[in-house]
Amino acid sequence: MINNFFKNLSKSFLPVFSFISLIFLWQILSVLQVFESWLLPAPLAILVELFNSKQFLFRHTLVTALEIFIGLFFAIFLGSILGFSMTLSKILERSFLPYLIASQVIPIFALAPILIVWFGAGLLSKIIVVFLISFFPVCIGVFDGLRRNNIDMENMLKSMGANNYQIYSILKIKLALPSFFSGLKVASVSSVIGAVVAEWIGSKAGLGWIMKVSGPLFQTERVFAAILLLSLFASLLFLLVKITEKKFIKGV
Amino acid sequence: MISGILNPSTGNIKLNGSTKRLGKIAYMQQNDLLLPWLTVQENLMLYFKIKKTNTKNNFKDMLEKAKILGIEEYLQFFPSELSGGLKQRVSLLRTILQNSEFILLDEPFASLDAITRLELYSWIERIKKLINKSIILVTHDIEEAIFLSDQVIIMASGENNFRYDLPINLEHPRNTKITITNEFINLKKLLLENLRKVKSID
Repeated sequence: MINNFFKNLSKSFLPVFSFISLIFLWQILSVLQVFESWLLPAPLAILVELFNSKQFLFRHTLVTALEIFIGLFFAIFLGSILGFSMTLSKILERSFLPYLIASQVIPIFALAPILIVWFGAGLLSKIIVVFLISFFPVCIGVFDGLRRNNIDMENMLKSMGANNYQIYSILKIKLALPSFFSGLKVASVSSVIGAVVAEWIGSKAGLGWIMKVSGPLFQTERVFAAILLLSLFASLLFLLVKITEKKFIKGV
Repeated sequence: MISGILNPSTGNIKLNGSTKRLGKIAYMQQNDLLLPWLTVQENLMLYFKIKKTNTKNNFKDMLEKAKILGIEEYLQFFPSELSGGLKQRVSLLRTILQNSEFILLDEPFASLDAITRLELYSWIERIKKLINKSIILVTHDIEEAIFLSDQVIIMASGENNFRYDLPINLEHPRNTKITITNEFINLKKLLLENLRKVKSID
């Protein structure tokens, strides 16, 4: 009983404790001026900046969020269609899969400048970068998931007189969901990176843009505030995928 | 092959004169094959869902039979929360609920331990009377064959045409104590002798 209590306490308490201690130490070192505030601002200064420019920061978070959501939406939509089609047709699989894999070695850093030249410094080029970076994990997730079939269960459904559509809706799609969500989790995290990289290379708004322009102006608090918001957003996005996954995958 | 999922390379398998068997024979396999993301109740109603006959009457029918098999309190559970014997009982009921002319049980007890297996035998005895359908049981277990059947057929594999029929005239409902009566043991001897013949013919 008591042992359990301490176990639970240390499980939830220790990570929080270590985090707070670290921040506290950081704050003390900053107050003692161990490092220059324009190099590494104090945690409190970052919080103050977060509060003072909340409208400004919020507006730009919204821009980045919009790029990510639209890009992810198209990645999920088109990625699922291609992944699904590749399981249906060997011809499609052979003509697309090798290039899909090969395309992953092209660093998004190299591609983003060209995309910005082609599609401008606005929203569209960022959406395309997010789309490109999250398309692959979603597509492969659907493709691999749908191939993970249980032939005995399929035969069982057939002996009940199920048609092809029912075999997909009752069995195959359900079996593919874990793999799909694994892909989506990877996509949700890398899509944030994609959006920031694209904003960094050429944009007029967004958290990546804030980081880029505030650094040279020595507004380091603002850079850190943007980083904080970005990691917060990425965590929330990941959490959203996890919650959706829990809703869809039951009983396992 | 009997269920119609596969077709024989030579010859025909006919059900009431027709080779169309798929969907007419309820088929239970060695694994319970319960869909893990559906509750017990949803698994049981699967056939009605596929046939789009998810009606109140069918639900009542399911509930009635679930009571006989002792699974009515587990209807809202997921298969992963059930024991092996219970899962197999659910799978058995799902097979029975299919509105089929025949029921094919393909070694449904092979993966169970001895005690659970005996338990399932008596569940089958109990529900068999109620459903009044022909059941084909495929098994490697002689006692199981005698205990559950009215007729045992030994078949050899491949080109070998050996076939042996043995009617089992033991009274229903049978009790597991029956396995140590002289009658039962004599039947067992007869079957064992004929099983040996399968090999010696080769």
